[in-house]
Amino acid sequence: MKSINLLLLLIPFVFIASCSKSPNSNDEDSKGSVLIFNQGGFNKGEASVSVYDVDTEVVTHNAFLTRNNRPLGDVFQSASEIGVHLYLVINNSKKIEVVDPATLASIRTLNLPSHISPRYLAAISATEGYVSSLFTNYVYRLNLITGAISDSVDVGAGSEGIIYANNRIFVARNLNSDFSTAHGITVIVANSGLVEKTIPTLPGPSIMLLNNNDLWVNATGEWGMNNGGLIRVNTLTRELVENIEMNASTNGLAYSRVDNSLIVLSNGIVKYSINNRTQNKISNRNYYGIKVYEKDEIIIYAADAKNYSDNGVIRWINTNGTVVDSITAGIVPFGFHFR
Amino acid sequence: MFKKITLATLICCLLPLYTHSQSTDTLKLPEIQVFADRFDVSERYRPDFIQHLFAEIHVKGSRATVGDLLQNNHRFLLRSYGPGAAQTAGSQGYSSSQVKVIWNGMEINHSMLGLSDLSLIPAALLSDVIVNSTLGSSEYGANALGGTIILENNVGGDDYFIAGYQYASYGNKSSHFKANKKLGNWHLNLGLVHMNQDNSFKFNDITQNPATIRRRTNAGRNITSGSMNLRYIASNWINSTAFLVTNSKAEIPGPIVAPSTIARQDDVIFRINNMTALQVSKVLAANFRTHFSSHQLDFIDRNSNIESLSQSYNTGSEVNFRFSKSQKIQTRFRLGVDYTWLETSEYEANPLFHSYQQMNGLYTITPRLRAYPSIRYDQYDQFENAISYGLGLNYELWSERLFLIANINRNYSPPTYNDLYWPVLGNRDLRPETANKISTGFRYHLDRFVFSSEYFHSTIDNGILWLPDIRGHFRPNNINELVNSGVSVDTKVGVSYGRTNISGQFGWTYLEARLKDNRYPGESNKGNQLAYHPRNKVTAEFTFAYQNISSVMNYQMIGERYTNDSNSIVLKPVHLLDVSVNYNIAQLFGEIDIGAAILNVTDHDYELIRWYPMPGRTYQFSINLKL
Repeated sequence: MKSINLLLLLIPFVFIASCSKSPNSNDEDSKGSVLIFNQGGFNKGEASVSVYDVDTEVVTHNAFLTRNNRPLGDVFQSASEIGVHLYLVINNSKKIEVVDPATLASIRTLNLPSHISPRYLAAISATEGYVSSLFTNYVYRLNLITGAISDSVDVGAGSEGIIYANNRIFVARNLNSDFSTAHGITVIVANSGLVEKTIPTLPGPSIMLLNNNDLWVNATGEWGMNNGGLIRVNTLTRELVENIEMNASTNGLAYSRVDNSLIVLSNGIVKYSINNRTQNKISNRNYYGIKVYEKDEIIIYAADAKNYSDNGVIRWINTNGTVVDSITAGIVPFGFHFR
Repeated sequence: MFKKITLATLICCLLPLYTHSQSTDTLKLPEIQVFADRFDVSERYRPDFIQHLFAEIHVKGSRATVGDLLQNNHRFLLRSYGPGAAQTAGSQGYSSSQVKVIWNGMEINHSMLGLSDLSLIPAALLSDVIVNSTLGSSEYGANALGGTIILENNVGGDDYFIAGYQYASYGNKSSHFKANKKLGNWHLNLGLVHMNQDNSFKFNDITQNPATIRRRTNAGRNITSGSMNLRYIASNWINSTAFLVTNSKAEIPGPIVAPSTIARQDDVIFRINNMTALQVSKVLAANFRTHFSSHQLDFIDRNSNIESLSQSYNTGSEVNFRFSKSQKIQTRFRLGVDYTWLETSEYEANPLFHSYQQMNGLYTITPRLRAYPSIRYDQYDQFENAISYGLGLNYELWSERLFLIANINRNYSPPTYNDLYWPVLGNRDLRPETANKISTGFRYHLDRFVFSSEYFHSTIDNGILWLPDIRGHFRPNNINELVNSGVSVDTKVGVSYGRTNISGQFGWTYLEARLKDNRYPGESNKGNQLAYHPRNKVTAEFTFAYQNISSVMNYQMIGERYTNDSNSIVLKPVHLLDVSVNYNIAQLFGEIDIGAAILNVTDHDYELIRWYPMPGRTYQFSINLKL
């Protein structure tokens, strides 16, 4: 009995000791963790977040479900970091989950009207943003606290990427209502919601990223036509800088700050040097999503969705195309967040 | 197009008039003797394990669909998206597009999808539902890879008129009438079922934290289905014309992780079938069958900008001959042509012409050993021809008691229209899927006790699977290879004591349905259990009748299932218990039958497909009048 009492007495002290920082520990040494976003199959409710702990090399699947005791939803489309929160756009569940990126604890859920097919989110302030919609010709202005839609702006086509820069919202017009591929980037004055212009582009503008005042967009191209490429827009002048044809379709885009290049998914992985304007194929394997990690070296996180119904694979690839390592992800992995 | 439909309909309608102008002798022949498309042999001596699913004892009563009947059968696995939604059935590791559904001799699998929605066929319109997972294409033709579901609405027997009404929980109402009438040589059977379903049942919404009880919305369905079978029976020939018309308007609620508020599906189905069977001589029987069907299927979901409209048509004719010196030696021949065409908002497709020749034999080699060889050859104008063959054996080990059964056969299933023609992605180079099956087992009969056990093993080659190509575009290819094996056990027993009748049955299927090989670079699913195919399914039924009271109790257990081929997501097992009680009141003018039932007595929370909840405890009341 005495030994049991002693054990019980010791437990709180052990716990307290384990919670306190070791004098030798240094946060700088921690490589942190990576959130892996998994889209899941359509109508299968398989959207999930996996967490990869870089230090321990352990992957934890279904982290949102575990933390919040409910599923994330159906078709996880995109994630946006706004303030201290992550906004997870769940396309077929018509909602946006707001979470704490450190714990994945749900802060709130923004439920959208059922006619909206939400794809990407761009904030214009701490409380307001615009969300794109693939199956309607509008983008929607919404309150980021309540989810209330305050305005809708007709961009003439279903939209994918959306981004805020220099008091303007840039919208990738991707899909016409007859399911043909749309062209152009519509520019909206963020505060008024008025359409300023539509910039002509290669067909199928999709994912957007901002590099200073340059907006880079990948164009998927028309179905089966191999006429996709890259689009560069100056967000100050709101003018097209260039359309870069790649004679192939594209389906992903990431940016490497270290060597000022774009990493493009286009029948494999292609590195496009912004300085030299050259294309260099890194990998022939097709991936569904990419992101560049640049803490100590340039590592491309590439998401292989495999057959889109089994668990996918994340591969780390260096700029030579060599696969450094891989881990198993959830179903249809597509995106990453480094924390 | 209109001309083709009119011509086919005219042929079907005029044939009986022509044939009826012949003999008027009223001597009737048992169907089994005159129908040349089956052997004149007792079921005991067959080389397979067929089962009859009688609709009249189903606890759901008149609102039961063919899918509901199959849910209570352990050899078949029902995939249901909820009450009022589509129901499809697979068997022994085979998908629903590899199970053939036959209505009065004609195939009714949808030509675009390859499968048949069993929720569109009210069981009350049928006189018998026969399932056979043993024999394959050399008996039943294309798609009969994994099994065959045979639906019949025959005429005959006493005159009757039945009208009934049923009310069940969650706003489910059903009314039906059936009539059977004999006038001289003419026999007429009519049936009509109307179901009005809200399906607004409560479910545990686990997409919320904490989980909350909510009601299903946008899940209603209105379905009206009518059938007619007009038969003329003469001394040595029978002519039969059957119609089946269905109009269904269904709301599509979607999964609870992505509920839909406005999606819907409308189906309008018309089928007509004419068959003339003739006993030419003592040795030769022949029959000629012609059919036409059309199926309008519209799926509309404004939120996803989807408006998929299609109208598929099929017509064909076949002739069967059976030569039988005696019951011991019989040979059947079947020749047929089939023509399918399609109008759809999704793509343009060429009509499909198909012809086939088939021969089946029943040869009594020794007094105890019967052999059933079969061979069939199918020609298609758009893809590879297919040959299928089989050999079945029935050995009577113990006279009238114990029968040893063995079967080996090769089967095939052609690509669907969607596989071939889907815009940009369809693959015109697809070949028919093939399967080699063996099964062996025994059946023991003793009065009202029957016990049977079957071991089955099959391999599927050239299975069609949609997989992403290097650009992530899904395309169908002949790359799915599977190995299925398992055991099925059936027991039936019945006893009577005075006015008391008790019967029971028990069935269990154990299934290993595995991927034979990896199908794409990087896959590691080889050896995994196929998605949505449980290893275990158990069904049990207990029926009790005393004087004018009867009761049925059903139990089924469906083991855990994986929702994908990597086996990473598991659905928990299903346990369902249904109970019904009926009280029959005989009156001077006829009979009144009052019934009550409780379905899912234990209020078990379950899904057959992930995120599609099924109803909890359901109460049901019915009244039927029989004259």
